[in-house]
Amino acid sequence: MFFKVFKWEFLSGKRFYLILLIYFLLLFSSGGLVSSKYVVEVREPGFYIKEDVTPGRVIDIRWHTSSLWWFLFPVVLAYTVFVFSYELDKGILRAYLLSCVKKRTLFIAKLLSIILSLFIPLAACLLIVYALADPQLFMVDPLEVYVNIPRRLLLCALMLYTMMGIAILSSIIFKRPLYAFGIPMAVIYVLNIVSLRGISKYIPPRCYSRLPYSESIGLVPTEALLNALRIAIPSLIASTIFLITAYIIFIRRDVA
Amino acid sequence: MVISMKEVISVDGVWKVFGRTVALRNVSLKVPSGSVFLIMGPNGSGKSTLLKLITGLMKPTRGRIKVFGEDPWKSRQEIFARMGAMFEDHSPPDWATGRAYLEYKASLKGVKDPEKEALRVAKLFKITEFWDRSISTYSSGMRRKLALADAFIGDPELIILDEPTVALDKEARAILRETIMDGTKQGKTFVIASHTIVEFEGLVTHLAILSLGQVVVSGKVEDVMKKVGIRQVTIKTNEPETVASFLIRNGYSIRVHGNHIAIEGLEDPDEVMAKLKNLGVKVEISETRPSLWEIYAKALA
Repeated sequence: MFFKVFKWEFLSGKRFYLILLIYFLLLFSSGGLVSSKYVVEVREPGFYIKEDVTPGRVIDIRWHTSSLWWFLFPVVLAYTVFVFSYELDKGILRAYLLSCVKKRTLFIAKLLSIILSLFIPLAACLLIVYALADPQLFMVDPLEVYVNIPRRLLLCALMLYTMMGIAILSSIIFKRPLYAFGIPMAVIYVLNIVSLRGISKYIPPRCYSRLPYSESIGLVPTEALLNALRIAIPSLIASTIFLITAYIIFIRRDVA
Repeated sequence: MVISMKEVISVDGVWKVFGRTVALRNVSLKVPSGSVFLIMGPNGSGKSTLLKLITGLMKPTRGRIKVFGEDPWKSRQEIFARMGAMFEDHSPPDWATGRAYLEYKASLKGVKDPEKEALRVAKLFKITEFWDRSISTYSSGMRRKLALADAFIGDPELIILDEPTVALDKEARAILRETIMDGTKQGKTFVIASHTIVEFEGLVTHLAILSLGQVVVSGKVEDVMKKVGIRQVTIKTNEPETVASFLIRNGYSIRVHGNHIAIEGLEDPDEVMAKLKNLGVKVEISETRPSLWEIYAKALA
């Protein structure tokens, strides 16, 4: 039963949105990052260098926490609201529940389809953008271009998960899609802009640290990677609590 | 086929409260197996809420509901293996085709061959002509037919229909009536909430009339008629004008259809016969069942 529901949720009707997401991510990435910046200036107290780096590394450097988060959060929220809130509002949920499907199965299938629907285009986009950014190196040694992709994907997955919690909770609480999208957007952005510490620690998660300019480390468990994962723990716990809350509300609530 | 009159649905002292609004108050009724149970009531009387409670979409605030002996809120998925339902605002996903939707619903019902079953119900309600199109292109009537087909997936024993005739054309209404007739012959149970009740005249065996969230009256149609205090005497005569004018002069409320005159009220056929004897006109008198609308109007009067 779960596989049938998941297949329906993942494949049916959302292709348009997936393509849109890939397209948007691609534009965002290539427009802002694929340029001829081969020299990076590094300034630290008592230290200044000009270093030649490949465009692939430039992406690593510039795709730091905030820029990716500021772009991704509305996308995650909009997509989640579409999958949960919009369908609830339209009574599609009722049409599904007039069958032998369990609410639990439906919730988990929807959650998994959201995660994969956001993560797969992101992964695809990274693969495209890295190759576009450094075509010469890609032709000579593709592995070198993609060496940091595993770490990037792991950290992206963690970031998506931390955003998913609040996005799904909002979709479940607010029945009107506009509120479900607008209210958390406004609250989170305003609180981040005014640098409220508690929220800033949760979103954006500090798990998307910069990579060293000159090292290709992949998923090797360096201290930097472990630190990044450790810092992400509170965000992951908070998101899990949000998801459990959303699940309980979804299971116990009437489907009017 | 021997039809057991065992209860399929039992609603016992059910309340449903939304904030400060009491949608249902102390509702109790029993739906026997093999019956065609019509739920009538004005807008906002709680018909749809009651059906949503029966289908396990909502949890009662107080009271107990049993469908096939199980609590629908806790065992909805088990109950739906034997039950089908459609609601007035049934909204399948716009982006799917009718065929894909029905096949998916058939698979969710655990039907062995979902494609075959989807085709069967689609043929039943004649939707195969347009079912390969996206649902977003359907008219409201097409959507209703799709919802009806959905309710009959898996050949369920119990079918719940909320306003099933709304937006349906004459042909589709006739198909629905025929399907219900066939279903009752097979011992299936139908629970219908509807304003348009002409289609169900003659089919309905049980009736519940709701008003302001309360059951005004419920039970077998004959029992409801007794409780409501409505009888109908029909007179067949070759001289309807003479008989009609005599009856009006004697203060009866009548309706004339050709050679038939129906007297509404609590009249005793023998008493009417005795009066007409003196008129010297040949008449045949019988007691007939009043229309559902008449019972409904009388109950709410």
